[in-house]
Amino acid sequence: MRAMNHPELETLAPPLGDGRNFDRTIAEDHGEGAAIAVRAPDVAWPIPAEARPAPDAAPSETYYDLPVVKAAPWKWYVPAYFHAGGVAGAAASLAGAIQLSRDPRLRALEGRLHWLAVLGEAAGGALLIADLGRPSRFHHMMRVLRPSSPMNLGTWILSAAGTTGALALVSHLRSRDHGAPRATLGGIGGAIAGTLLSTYTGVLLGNTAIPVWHATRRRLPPWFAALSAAGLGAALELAAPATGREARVTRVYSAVAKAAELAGARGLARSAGRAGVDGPFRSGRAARMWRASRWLGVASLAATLWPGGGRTRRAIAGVLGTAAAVLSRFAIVEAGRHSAADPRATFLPQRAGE
Amino acid sequence: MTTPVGFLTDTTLCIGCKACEVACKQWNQLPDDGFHFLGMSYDNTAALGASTWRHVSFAERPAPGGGITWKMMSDVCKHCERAGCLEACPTGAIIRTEHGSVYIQPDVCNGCGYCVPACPFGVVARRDDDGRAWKCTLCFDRLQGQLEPACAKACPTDSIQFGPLDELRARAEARVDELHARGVTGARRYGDHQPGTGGLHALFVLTDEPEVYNLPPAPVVPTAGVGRSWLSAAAGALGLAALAIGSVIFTRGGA
Repeated sequence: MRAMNHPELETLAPPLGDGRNFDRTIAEDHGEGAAIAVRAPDVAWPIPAEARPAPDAAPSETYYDLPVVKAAPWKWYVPAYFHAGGVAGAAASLAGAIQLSRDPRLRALEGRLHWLAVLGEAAGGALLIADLGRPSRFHHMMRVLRPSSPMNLGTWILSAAGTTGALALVSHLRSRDHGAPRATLGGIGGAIAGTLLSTYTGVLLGNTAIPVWHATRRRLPPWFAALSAAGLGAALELAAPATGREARVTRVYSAVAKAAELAGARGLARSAGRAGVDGPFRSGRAARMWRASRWLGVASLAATLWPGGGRTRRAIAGVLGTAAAVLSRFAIVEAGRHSAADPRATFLPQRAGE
Repeated sequence: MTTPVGFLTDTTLCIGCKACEVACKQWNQLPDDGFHFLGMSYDNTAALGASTWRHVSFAERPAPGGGITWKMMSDVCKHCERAGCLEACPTGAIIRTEHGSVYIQPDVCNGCGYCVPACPFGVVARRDDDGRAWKCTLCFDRLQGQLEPACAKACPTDSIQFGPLDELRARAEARVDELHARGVTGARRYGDHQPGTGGLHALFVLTDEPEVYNLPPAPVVPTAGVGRSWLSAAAGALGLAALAIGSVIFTRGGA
């Protein structure tokens, strides 16, 4: 019929390769979905391999074991940002504390922390923009202030932390007296924004329908705070030379942070267990990542507490601690993917009145 | 705002013809889904997605008298009264329209993907090649022209009904009463008395548990508990500050 009305199109029309059964050369494309750009035919809903029910899954009606909720479509950039932004926020808060102490022996450490904060915040921003489906529209995040969206508030927090962090670094570099650290607007403002930067990402994950994140939404932010501090402790163990006061600050900070992180993770996994959604922590890839991050965390805490101030000990503690902190972020994101794939994790807590 | 409108999908009338899927694809000029064979039932669509805004599910259940019975249902975006996607959207791309529906503005969406896990029904999805989130628009363009959505228009059995929500609620209640009177004891309404989402703008009449149709039994908008989550974030932030100040203070002594 098409050839009858438009014989020339029989040879001229491009193949209908975008999965739409209409010919744009003779049809208008004003439909609500006409703007969807198609490079390859969609795979409607690839059934994730992890959607297979766990052997010990509680019985529940499901629809062919297909998932109910959809996993976050984020790439590795987002867990990498959780680490970079978290460490940056913790660094800004420790720099603020040093400014308040006015101790000249900590001036070099303060400078390193300002650099760490600024670099982490810049890298974090770049990672977040790279993860967007439309990176050129990143500034749309800032066309509204929306308290109901942790993603929106997070953009404002990251912007505030980045601005104050840069101010703090400039003030630090400009203070030529090499004397005691002084409280600056950028430093104290950056410290406050930094504490929020290290914690809001926990709210971000908790504020979703992903069962394991939603069930642990009150455990995630404090754990993320501890994880950020542990990541900072490990970074300082790798970076800072072990001298006197600095070494003591780093060691105490690291030890407390790593212990708090281990305790927080334990509480989080238990709370997921009570809600009946801890499957991702018990079997599969997420569980392997989770367990590895736990052992790395324990080993890194042991290396921090090990007597002696040797460079090797610090390097080992730093490497293990960084690996633990990064892997923890990837593990909790992977756990979310597994949790989303399991319809029972969605159904059973809702039936239990969670 | 005009009267809120929505869908009532009566699964007892659904014959699984998928005319709604086809009408939706055609009217909205959506790309295809790759024509996959899933091998589990006549349902080869599997789920709603970025370019699949209606999905007919085929659940096989044991029939009371032996054999099996088909439970077919055309699923769609619920346009929740408290919508997880809308509240999670950081750009304001997702809005509530004058028809009471939830609409993603494609010219604003920057593809952050946060609405995808925020939907308790797994409706919203992001296509990697397009980069933006897409879902049912309740045929916004047709509503502007006083036409009913394409799926409802195409449904040959009136399983998908479109109209003002008040009317649909009353119709759903009457239909369930009628089904009960006829001995269909499993008949129930879904979506109009849901505290977790403030009620849906796409109601359903089901004849079994919601799980059978892959519907969550008691969905809750994720933002419902976000206040306490922020409180614990504040506690974490204070802890971080205390750790920083403490580790500086308690190491004051010595060289």
